[in-house]
Amino acid sequence: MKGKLKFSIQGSQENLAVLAKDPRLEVVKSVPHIETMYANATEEDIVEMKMENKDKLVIFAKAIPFRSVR
Amino acid sequence: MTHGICRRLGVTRLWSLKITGKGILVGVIGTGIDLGHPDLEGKIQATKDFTTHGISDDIGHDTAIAGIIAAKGAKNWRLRGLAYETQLVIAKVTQFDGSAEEDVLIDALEWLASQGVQVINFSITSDSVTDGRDPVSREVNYLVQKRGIGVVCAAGNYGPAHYTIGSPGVAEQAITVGCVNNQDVLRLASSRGPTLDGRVKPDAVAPGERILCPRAHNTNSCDIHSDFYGFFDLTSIATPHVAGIYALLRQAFPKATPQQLKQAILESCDPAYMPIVSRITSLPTGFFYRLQAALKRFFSRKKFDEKHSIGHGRVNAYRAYLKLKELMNVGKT
Repeated sequence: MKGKLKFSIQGSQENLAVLAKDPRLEVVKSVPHIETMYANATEEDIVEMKMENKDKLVIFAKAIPFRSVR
Repeated sequence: MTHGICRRLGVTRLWSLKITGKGILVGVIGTGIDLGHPDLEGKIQATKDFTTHGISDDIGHDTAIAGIIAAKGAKNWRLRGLAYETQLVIAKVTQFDGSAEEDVLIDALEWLASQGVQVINFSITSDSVTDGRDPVSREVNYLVQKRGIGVVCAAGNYGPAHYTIGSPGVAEQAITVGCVNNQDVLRLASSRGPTLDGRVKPDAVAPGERILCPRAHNTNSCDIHSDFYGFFDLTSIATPHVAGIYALLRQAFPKATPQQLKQAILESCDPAYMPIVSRITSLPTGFFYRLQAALKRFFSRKKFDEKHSIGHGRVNAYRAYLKLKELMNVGKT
């Protein structure tokens, strides 16, 4: 877990199913109806995976922090 | 949520038609709830804590929001919520500092939907601006389009600059709410659109200046009025006014779609106004000889400013009711 951050990965179910098997990702949660998966990974691994999947429609993004509006 | 605000928003006219939110379930996602507050006694149908520190409201944020929607007026009938006969479902998602994680928000939204809520108040926003394709915005769009649940989101308090609305306020299907003062003038801190992909947001504005609301036990995140009440501010407090109006309209027109309800609320708004300060600050200074050109730019910019700051204007529940009646009748013929 050390050095790992939470990322959201958006893409088709087929692409997400393939990515879920990748040992560099620790899948936290899958939200199929919005074609999203959450996973813990290191930034370096995500950069690599972005390069590997650049021809596919997959969006990798760091999970955004939210805050109550005060 | 004072009686004066309810009258100004046309809510008291709906009350006189026996439209009080009865039978409607409203979801509130945020900082938890003070279950012991007399105004909320018997109003909470279900709660779920998505953190590890219990459902109690550590900040006081969402007890105030719940009160604006559904307070009974136990201590003073003039402090009733807009839809004071609704029931509430509360999802607590924030840590002690008010922060929340993206995937937890999605879990909480799904849980609220599973509880059968008809409208959700979402006074939480992302720290960064998105274009509406982030997962939380997509989840909000999904709930509205596929599950028929209205989602009312705060625009945020990052104004007066444009492009300052975060997720899920940027979600296309959400009703995004900015805030005005008691004279219907936009508050400077209210976040402004457009979205990064150029859509108009916020959709409308509602009162968000010194609103007297229920105060959670042992919290001081507001200007304290008394043991049970405090004055709250800005867009998170404006948002439940619209969620309350949505609940009233949902009771009056159970067959209306979320899109029809949104259309009625937006197309029936009263005028709201831009603050003079933000108009002046958009003028260049120190170039008097260029004043004429600057004024020309200023007036052409004014329209853009207004459109992306106050949306359709300040909500009016009674006019929305009439508009929805018209829309539903058009559908019948």
